[in-house]
Amino acid sequence: MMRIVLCLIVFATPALAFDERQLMALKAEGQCIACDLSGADLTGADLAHANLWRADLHGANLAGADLSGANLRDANLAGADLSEATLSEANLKYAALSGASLHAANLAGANLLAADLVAANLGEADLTYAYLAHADLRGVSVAGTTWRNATLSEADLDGVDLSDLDLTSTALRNTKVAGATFCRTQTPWGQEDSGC
Amino acid sequence: MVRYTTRQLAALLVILLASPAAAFDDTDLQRMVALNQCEACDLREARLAGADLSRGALPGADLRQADLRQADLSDARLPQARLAKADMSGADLTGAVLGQADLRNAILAGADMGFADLRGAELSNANLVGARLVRAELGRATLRRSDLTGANLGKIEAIDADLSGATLIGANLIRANLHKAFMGEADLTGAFMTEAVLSRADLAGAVMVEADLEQANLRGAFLNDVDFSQANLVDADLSGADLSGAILYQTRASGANLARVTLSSASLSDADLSGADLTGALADASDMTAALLVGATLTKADLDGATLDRADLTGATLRYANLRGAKLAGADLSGAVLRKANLTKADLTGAKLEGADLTGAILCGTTLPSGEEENGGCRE
Repeated sequence: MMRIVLCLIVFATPALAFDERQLMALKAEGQCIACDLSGADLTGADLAHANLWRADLHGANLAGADLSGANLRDANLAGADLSEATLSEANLKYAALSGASLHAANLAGANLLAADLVAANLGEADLTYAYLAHADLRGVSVAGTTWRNATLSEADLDGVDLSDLDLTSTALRNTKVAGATFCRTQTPWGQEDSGC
Repeated sequence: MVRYTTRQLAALLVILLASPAAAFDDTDLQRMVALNQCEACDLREARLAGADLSRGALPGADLRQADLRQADLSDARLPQARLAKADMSGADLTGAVLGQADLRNAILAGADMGFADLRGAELSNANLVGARLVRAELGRATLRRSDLTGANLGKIEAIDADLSGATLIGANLIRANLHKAFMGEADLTGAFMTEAVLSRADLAGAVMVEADLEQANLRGAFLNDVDFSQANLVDADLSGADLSGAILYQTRASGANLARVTLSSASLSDADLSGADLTGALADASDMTAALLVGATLTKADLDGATLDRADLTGATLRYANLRGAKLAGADLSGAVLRKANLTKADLTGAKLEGADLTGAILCGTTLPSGEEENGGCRE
């Protein structure tokens, strides 16, 4: 079974939204299906391969947490801090990540099918082999991101600044790029400077 | 004559095949391939045979003379695309949006265009042989002189469409809506048009030989000089239609509604009009030789100078009908109602009148079955 070590659990405020027993369950069993951990401070937690299907983690602090291989399908991570978190190979299908900070997160091989990433911060994130088909990426920040062999087919990139990115190996079939900005962007059809 | 050696010819062939002088923009092509979308881009003569462009967005794209054979364009958006002379034979265009697209001279033989939106599209001279257009929207589309031989146009919405001069031999137009469509000079030989709506459509000069129009709606249609020989008009509604000069030789039209139609100079010899309603029809100088009019209603019909020799009018109603100068030699009028009919100068030589009701009929200069002339009804 998986080893769960919660490094820094801070119960600072008395108005905690989540149930402490659920957090204990997550610690003991490595799973916490549909549980309420909204606003929890799980900074740097080792949640590798944890089953958090449908968990409510909105506003949670997961900065630097290890969620590699975790099941976060349908989870609510809106507004969560996932900066520098490891989400490689994580299942984030249909997850709500709007407004979340994924700055410098490792999303290599993560599955973000139809995930809601509206206005999320993906700056410096590694999205190598990440699957984002049908994902809603309107208004996300993607400066310095790595998209090698990633899939963005059918995704919505309206209002996204794609300047200086290398998308040469990224699948873009039917991706909504009409409102995206291309400037020094490396694409399968060459350098695109239409938005410079 | 210029003579080339085999070597020269081979060199020329290599140049022609390797020529990079493709008409399309290479960046546009690569962009389109990667994104499956490209607005108003230049893809002229692009080789896209068998390409998967399903659900692609190519509004206003220039695909003139492009090779799109067997390409998958299902649900693709191509409004106002320029596809003149493009080869799309065998392509899948189901649900494709091609509104206002230019498809002149395009090859669409065997293409599947079911549910496609072709409103206002220009398809003149297009080759649509055997194409499938079931439930396609063709309102205001132009298909002038296009070849739709054997095409399936079942349930199409083609109000105000222009199909003049089009070839529709053996085409399936069952339940098609062609209200006010322009189909002048079209060839609809053997077309299947059961329950089709052709109300107020203009089919002047069209060929509808052996066409199946059972229960079709041809109300108020312009059918001047149309050839309906051996066609099936059983239970069709042709009320108010203009059939002047039309040919209905051996046409089956039993039970058809022909009220108030114009059949002036039309040819209806050997036609089956039994039980048909010809109330108020204008059929002067028409030829109804040996026509079957058993139980037909010809009340107030104008048959001035019409030929009804050997016609079977058993039990027909000819109240107030104008049969002035009509030829009824050998006609069977047994049990027919000719009350107040005008038989002035009509020829009834050898006609059967057993049980016929001639109350109030005008007989003046009328040749009776016996060959005698009757002038009892002449007004001085």
